[in-house]
Amino acid sequence: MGSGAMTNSIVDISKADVIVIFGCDPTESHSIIGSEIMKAKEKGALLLVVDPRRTRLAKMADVHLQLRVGTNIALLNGLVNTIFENGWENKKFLEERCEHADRVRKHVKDYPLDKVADITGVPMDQLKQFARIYSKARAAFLAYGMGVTQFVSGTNNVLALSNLVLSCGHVGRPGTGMNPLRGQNNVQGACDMGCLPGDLPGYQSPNDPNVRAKFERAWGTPVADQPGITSMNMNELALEGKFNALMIFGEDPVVTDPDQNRVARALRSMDCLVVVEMVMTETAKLADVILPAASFAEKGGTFTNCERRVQRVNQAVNPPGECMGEWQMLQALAKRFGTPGFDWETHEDVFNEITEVTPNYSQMSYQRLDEANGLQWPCTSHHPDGNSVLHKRSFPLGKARLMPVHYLPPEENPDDDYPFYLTTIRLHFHYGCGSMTRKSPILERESPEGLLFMNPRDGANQGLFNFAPVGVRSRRGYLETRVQFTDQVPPGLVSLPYHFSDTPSNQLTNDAQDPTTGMPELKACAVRVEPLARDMRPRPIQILRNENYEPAVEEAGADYVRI
Amino acid sequence: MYVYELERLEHLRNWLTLKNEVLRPIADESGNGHWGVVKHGDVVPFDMDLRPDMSPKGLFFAERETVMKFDGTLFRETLPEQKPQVLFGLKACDLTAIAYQDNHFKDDPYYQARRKNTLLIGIDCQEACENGFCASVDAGPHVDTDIADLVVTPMPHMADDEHGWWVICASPEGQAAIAGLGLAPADPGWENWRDMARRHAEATFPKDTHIINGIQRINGRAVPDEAWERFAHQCISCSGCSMMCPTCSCYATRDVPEAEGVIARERIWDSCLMVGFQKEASGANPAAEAGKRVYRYWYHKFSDDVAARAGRYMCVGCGRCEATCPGMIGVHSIMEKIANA
Repeated sequence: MGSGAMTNSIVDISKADVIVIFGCDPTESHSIIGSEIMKAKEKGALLLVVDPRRTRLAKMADVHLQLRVGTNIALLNGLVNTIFENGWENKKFLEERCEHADRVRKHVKDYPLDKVADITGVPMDQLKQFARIYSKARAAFLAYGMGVTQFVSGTNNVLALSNLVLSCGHVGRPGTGMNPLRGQNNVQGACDMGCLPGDLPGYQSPNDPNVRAKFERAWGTPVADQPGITSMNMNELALEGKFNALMIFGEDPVVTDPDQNRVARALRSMDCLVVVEMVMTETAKLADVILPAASFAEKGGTFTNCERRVQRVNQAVNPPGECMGEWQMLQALAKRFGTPGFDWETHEDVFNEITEVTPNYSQMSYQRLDEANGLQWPCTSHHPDGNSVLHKRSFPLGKARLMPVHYLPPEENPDDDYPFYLTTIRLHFHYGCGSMTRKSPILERESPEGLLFMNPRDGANQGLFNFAPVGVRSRRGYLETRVQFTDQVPPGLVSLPYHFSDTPSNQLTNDAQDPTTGMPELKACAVRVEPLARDMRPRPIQILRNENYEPAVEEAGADYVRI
Repeated sequence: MYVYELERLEHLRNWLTLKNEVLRPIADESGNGHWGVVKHGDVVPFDMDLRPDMSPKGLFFAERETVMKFDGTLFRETLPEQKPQVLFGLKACDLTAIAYQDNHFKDDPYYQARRKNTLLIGIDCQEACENGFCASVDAGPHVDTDIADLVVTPMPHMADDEHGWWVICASPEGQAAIAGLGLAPADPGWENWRDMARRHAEATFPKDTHIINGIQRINGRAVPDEAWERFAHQCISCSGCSMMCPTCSCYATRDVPEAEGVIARERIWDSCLMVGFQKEASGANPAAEAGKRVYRYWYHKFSDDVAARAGRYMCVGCGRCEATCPGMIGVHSIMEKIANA
């Protein structure tokens, strides 16, 4: 349909009469949005949740489709098929705003309800109920998250989702939309600024000679005409010896990227690794140089949230010691390299340069952001006050295209040796790799260590008790933790939070990737759960590694001291 | 009790800055109120309607503080040092809460070290604030003269006209603080005017049947466990209510290793809504279910048993929990739900 951002805004949740939460857990990972959903539900909106886990919102939902992990496309095709078969589609919208509806209509005939129920494990009447409620809604807001994208079929999942949204015409109006929830506070901003391998700032393509010419004029230097490589690709090339230096800003890929043993090997094989960080992370321990970063409260600039709202960040305190903002660090480096064009005096100068080269940001300025409490792009001369709803009259492509997509199971599936699906989750007490939140004593007490969440029935079959020590093994790694019984996960599925560097879920995860985006399949892999002696203490990964349990990773630098 | 006439509140505020550090509600860029220092000579007008988002409890009961150090042989208490300070413009709800905390922490040297050097200047509210229901729980809108050092109350006036103030000396310390300011004694009759203003203010509160009904149902054990469990689905244990609540007083402790062989014991604000609050070392947890924790929280705020011990309900009706709760189970929402449970 267009660019990667919410088509609507957070406020649209309160304008919808049906809210669909697809493959995400906003109360845990986007608490403010979760709160808006609860409010809307209390005011009478119908809540539909699609999630293999029985999340908090799923417990409150009017309909919860508890599908098997990785069967999104089968489910969505089945829903679209039901909608077409019953004539519930929005014919006017399909006629005027979309193309290829017939192709999809024909294609999804392969997904009759009984077959879909077989694949997904969701009863047929629930599927039909969902299809009816969604298609007959006046305005239906759909939000999705990593449970859609973090699969090898991530891109196709999103296409299947957009088929559903388009066939019912739930886009381009208040209270509707197809709304991805971003993983971090400024992921949207980073993508907007071209931190994607194939984009220049503002999602402008380096393949377009006019775009290249514009940037070359603005920056006074040639710009790349080839797309870059994804972070997963960098690891591969590094292991092949073709990628030799990397500078990482505020990220801990050793904890947060899949198959961490491989990530660590890749980083270690580089000639030069620079990490810009506030705290000593697992990645920073591998660095040749660590540069001290300023925190959000110690620098100025803007963050862009998932509803495309660019918001000012105001410096509250001075950064300690030699810490500085990232733009200052890049500027200092450019100066040493003798590269011109980095002579901003303030972070406002940086923003002004952004508005010059990014059409979506062109009518923004610090003053206007302050006055309007943030502006939502596209903020252009046609829409100087920004846009809360995208695609009101047309799509960037003109007409939106429905795309037939096929269901494919995840790359790795449970078998006799590894009988459980493992999915990764977030807990609201912790953020990202935990390098910040795990310093807070109360948060650390609330969830001090990674737990393996398991259905009580599976637990009983394995002869486990609640909080029993267990080993978890996949084809890529091994870790030890404790098991917690919960009805959140169905039998056959276990889940592990990804915040904990001593029980890192990414020891186990698969780095199989979506062929289009390079997004790794973090949400599904096969594992085996091995009971440990009842009185044994699960050993943190750092100790396990030293015991040469798995691909040996020799430690760089100091011992691991928990602060 | 001595009562004086005052032309402008800013005069009194400025006078107090001569010998004390004076804190008053100020609005930051986003319009949120918090307690900030006012310097001598500062002419910013006093904003009567601004109530800080956070209650003032953190000024006495610190969010995080070191309480002692152990160097292997000796335990050393680490008492805070507090210069004389004034809290200027406290509303009745917050003052009621401070009085409650004074009693709760009466043997707590850390709390008392900060508290004993603090002068409390209360101000009478003229109308109900958003979410406020102090009148329903006997905590406002006017300041009880037992719980402040000075109370300022506006003289009768028309709408937004400039008006004077009466300054009521509610304690010997309050009396001493204004000695030398040269204020004229108030005309008799101020008390009638103040009483009338209180009745006017009380008339501005919206209906509170859900609060009264909810208190009765909580004390009558009339809310089934399943209902609490249902409400608790919406509690994400963010602890926002406890942090904002002017009477929540629970804390956790932990030992932080410092230099070789030295540990510092810290205490940190805690919340009974968190699952780890009551978890025992064995892993057993008497309040493992979220419903039990939510019930306990509200039971403590409105229980007649607690009131019998503390002399009043813990809740002072400030409504901050309603404003902050992301799960729609702040005080008004939960009492509505209880009333309909």
